[in-house]
Amino acid sequence: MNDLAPSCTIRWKGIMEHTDAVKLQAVEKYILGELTPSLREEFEAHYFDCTACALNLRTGVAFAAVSRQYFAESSAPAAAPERLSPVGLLGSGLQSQSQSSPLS
Amino acid sequence: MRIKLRARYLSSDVIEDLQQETFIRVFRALRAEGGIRQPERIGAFVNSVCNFVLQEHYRAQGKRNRLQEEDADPPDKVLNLEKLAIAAEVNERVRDAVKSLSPRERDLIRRIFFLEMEKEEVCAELGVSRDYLRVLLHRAIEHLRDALENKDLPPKTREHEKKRG
Repeated sequence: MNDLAPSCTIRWKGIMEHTDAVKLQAVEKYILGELTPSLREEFEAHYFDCTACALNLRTGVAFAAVSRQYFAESSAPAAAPERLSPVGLLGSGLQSQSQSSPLS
Repeated sequence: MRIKLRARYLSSDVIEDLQQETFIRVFRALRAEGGIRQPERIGAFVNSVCNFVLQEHYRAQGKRNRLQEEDADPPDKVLNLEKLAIAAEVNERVRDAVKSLSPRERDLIRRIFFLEMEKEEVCAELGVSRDYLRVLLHRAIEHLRDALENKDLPPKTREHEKKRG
């Protein structure tokens, strides 16, 4: 946690390495929409090749999406209808191939 | 790739089309004589094909080239989370994680991801910084990832891990 840099306003030009992505808090900023379009593309070029960042991103997106659904159900007057299918983004298409981890 | 396309706030239909088009082109390249020169860079290759497909989509829509947007401000809008399908097990773990948050943290997450309120406004009202929000999300990711990776551990061990974390 301590190695996370504060809000970063640097402009990137080049190849983003994993350590750069961690220092930039790229996963969190990507989900929160806090990366400039150019930084977003740099991070995308990185996470398509970086399994650690791809896993963290999928986990973060799942957290955000399910949280949203959880609060939607909590605030609904009656039981909310099921909006999400049992398989999908995490393990989408992968579940049938591998049961080792829903995040793999 | 779906996450990347969602970051552009495209409709579900368009995302589906662009994803399929990207895969068709990738498979075509894989089957072509010579295939892909650096198989270990398949991720980067898929990303570049997806960028190309996106560029074509924008051009067809008459929108300006994405490259001209390099200096644009961040959208400051959370990723498009509409109708995202999540594996049942992950769904359950996230719910556990949300329930274990403090009331203030839960309120923060609710306002950002469910109510989609302005982050600046939410942070000011709850007396937290934008960094705090990122750190909270970072912790949630780590916690959830660990919980899913340790899913085969007996419940007692998981509970111990939870307390330790």
